[in-house]
Amino acid sequence: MAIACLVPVWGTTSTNSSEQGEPTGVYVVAFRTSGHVRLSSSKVFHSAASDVRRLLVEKGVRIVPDPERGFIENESTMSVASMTVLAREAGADSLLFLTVDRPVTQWVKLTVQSYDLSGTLLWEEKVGSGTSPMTGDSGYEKCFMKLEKALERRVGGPGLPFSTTPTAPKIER
Amino acid sequence: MRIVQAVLAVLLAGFTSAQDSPRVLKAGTEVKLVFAQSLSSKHAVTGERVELRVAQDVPVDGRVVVPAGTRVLGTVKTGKQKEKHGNAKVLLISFDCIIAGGTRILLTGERRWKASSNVAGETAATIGFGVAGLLLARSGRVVAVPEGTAVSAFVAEDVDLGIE
Repeated sequence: MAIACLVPVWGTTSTNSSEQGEPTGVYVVAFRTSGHVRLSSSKVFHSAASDVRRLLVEKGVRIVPDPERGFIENESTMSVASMTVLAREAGADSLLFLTVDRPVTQWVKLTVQSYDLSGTLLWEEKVGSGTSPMTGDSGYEKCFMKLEKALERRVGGPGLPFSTTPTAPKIER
Repeated sequence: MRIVQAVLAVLLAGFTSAQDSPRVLKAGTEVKLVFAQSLSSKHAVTGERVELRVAQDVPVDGRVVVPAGTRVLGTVKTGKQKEKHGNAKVLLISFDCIIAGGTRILLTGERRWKASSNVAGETAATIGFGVAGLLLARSGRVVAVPEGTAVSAFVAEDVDLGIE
C-alpha cells in the first residue's frame, strides 16, 4: 500500500467547512445513561437520537456525520475534549451532545448541550416527560414535543446554524 | 565530451537514487495509544467501536509520519453480549487501524482486562447475607477503563510512504 503522505489530522481544521465559506454543520453524539440502560431499552435510545437528527434536518440544520462511524451513539462516556476533536476532524463547526436518561420519576429525560470546537458550552436544554403519561411511548412523545419547542428557539443561533444548501431528504420514522 | 556525459550520468544516477529511496513504516512498529473514551464492562457491548488516539509521534527515518493525536479505532471483542446481560467479567479490546487523512494503517494488538475481586466486600456480604450476599457482591465486579488509559499496538503490515 503506497501512501504519498500522511496528513496530520490532530488539531487541524483543514476540513472545517466554515473556513472555506461553505455551509457550517453540527456533529451530533448521543449518550445513554446507566439509568436508561437499566430501566429502558436501546430501541428508545436509538430512536431518540435518530429523531433529534431528523428534527434538526427538518429545521434546516446541516448534520455532519462521522466519516468512520456515521453517528456515534454510545453508552460509554467520552470527554467533551475528545468529542470536539472528532467534530473538528469531521468538518463540523459545533458539537451537539444528546443525553438520554431514564430517571426513576420520569419515563424519559433528554438533555441537549451545544459546544463550540473549543469545548465551551454554548447552551443547554433539558426536557422530561414527567410521570403523568400512562405509558412510556406517550411519555416519550410528550418529552420529544417539549424538545422540539426548545430546539426551535435555538435553530439559527449559536451551535445550530442554518444550512445554506438544500437540506437532506426527510427521514421517515 | 564523453567524460563529461559520463560524469553527469553518474551524478544524476546518484542524485536520483537518493531521492528515490522509499520510506516504509515497518510492520511491527510499536504505536503507543491512549483511550479517547472510557470503557466499562457494565456498558461495553461486544462489537462496539472504541475511540483511541496515537499517544506519541511515530517517526520513520527521523520524520514524523503519524503524529500524536491521530485517530485510532478499536473494537470490543469481548464485552456484554446483550443489552441487559449484566457486567461482563472480561473486557477484550482489539486495536484495529489508524485513520490518517482518509488512509487506514492496519494495526494488530489487543488488551484484556479482567474484573478484580473485592475480597473484603465479598466477605462482608457473605457474613451479612450468606450465599445470596456473596453472589450479589460478585455480580458487582466491574472492569473500568478510564479515558486516557495508555496501551500499545503494532503496525500490521509494511506501509509504503512513497518516495521523498
